[in-house]
Amino acid sequence: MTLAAPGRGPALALVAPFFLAAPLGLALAGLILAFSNGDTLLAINAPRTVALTHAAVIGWLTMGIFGAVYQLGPAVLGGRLVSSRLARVHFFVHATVVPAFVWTFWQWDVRLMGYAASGLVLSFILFLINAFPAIGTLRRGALPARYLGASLVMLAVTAGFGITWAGTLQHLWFPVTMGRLAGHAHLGLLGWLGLTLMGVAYQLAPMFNVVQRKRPVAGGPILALTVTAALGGGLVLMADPGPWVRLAVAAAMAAGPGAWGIEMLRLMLARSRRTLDVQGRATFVSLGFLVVTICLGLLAAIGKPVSPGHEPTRLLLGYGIAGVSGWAGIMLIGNSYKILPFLVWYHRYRQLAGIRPVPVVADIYSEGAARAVLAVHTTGTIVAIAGALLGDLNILRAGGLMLTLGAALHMVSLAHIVLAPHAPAPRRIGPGEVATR
Amino acid sequence: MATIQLDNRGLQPPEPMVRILAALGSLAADDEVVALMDREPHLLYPELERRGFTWEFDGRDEAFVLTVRRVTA
Repeated sequence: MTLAAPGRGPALALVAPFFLAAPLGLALAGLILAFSNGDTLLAINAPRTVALTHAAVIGWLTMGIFGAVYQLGPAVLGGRLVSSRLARVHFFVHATVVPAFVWTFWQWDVRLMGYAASGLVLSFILFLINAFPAIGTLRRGALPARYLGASLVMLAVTAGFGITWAGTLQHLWFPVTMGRLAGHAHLGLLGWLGLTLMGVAYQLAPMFNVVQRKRPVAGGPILALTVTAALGGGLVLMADPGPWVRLAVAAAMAAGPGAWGIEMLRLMLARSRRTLDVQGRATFVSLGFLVVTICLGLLAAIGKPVSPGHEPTRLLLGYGIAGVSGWAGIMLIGNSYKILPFLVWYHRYRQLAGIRPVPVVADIYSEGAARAVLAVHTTGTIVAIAGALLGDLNILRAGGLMLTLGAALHMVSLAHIVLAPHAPAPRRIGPGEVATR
Repeated sequence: MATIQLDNRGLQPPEPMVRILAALGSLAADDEVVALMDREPHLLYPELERRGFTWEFDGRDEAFVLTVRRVTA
């Protein structure tokens, strides 16, 4: 295996496929939501709900995060990939396994589910081999690297429980109770997705919105609180506790992201760059969905049934959509319009920089198209949450269709960033010239 | 020996990299570029190396300082 030197960014052909394939997971999740049946509003563990959750979390968000870690680790955190070839194999494995995994949930084929889950664990192992060295500044205590390091551990823990649950569904070792399902889900959503996005936001939000006057003040304590709540809370949930314990766990789980949200708001309000681009807008919208997620999560934890079943399915469904599609999803969409254009710039234009005029990152993506994606996705998320809370299947399905449309637009706009030629913009930056934007 | 000073704080990537590379074009053998940075520019280093420059990065204080010089034989 060849070690990539620190500071040498990964190849465009390595990172771009992760970003381009990720919206397919969202499109798949949106389609499954569009084909919801009555079970979706009655049981949170209905096959189609489990299928759409995994399509969104593993197919969309996790795929995008893989690309982000492969890029940001060497580029920003000073780490290195163990092997670029391994990362390419990883993409192939993950892109192959996820559709199969989602299909086994849709069909509720527990035998094939076990095989697909094993393939998914292989994908995570391939990722972790590269990801830990990629966030190489962990030893120096950089805040984003500490968050990413913790989230990688949580990914391994979540996958461990996931493969166990898949095994017990097939071999009937013990029942997968609602509590065990909730524990696995929260380890993944808060421990893996939440920590990753929080850590990446600590790096990218100040960097791209130019925050100089303020620094994060509580990043370390928030990390400790979130890790403790995700791990401890996830394990407690697996014991199927009563409503008051669930509420205490929900409050503990909400505390870290809530404090992070306040800190992020503080940083964003202190930004020097007053005009918001799509990444800045997405950060604010995402923070709004974080508030919705926390409120719905606390209500759902109380456990008052709002549907004929024994679980508050509508609240749980609305909570899940707000957290996955709203908070985490919109943060990822916004950041993808910075990470991918920068990567394209770096590989196409860095050798020309200072020699002849080159475009800036803003010339490489269409701000209008990116805002359209953000608007369609945000609307789809709101409609889907409303459909879940109102218990209206048609509204829920409409939300699913809008999310699919947003995913298609997102994929086209990302493909345009990678594939389209970008004319240098002589008016912007040239030798001896200073950017004014 | 002349020093070209750049304040690259408060600029979005990749603008700091572009400004430094632009300044290097007029750098004489004994001159140096001293740039104030918001963060360590990991991806700039391979390009400096390719163009025949050496660098020192001081990341001890809040204002990070990058110093770039031509590689002397």
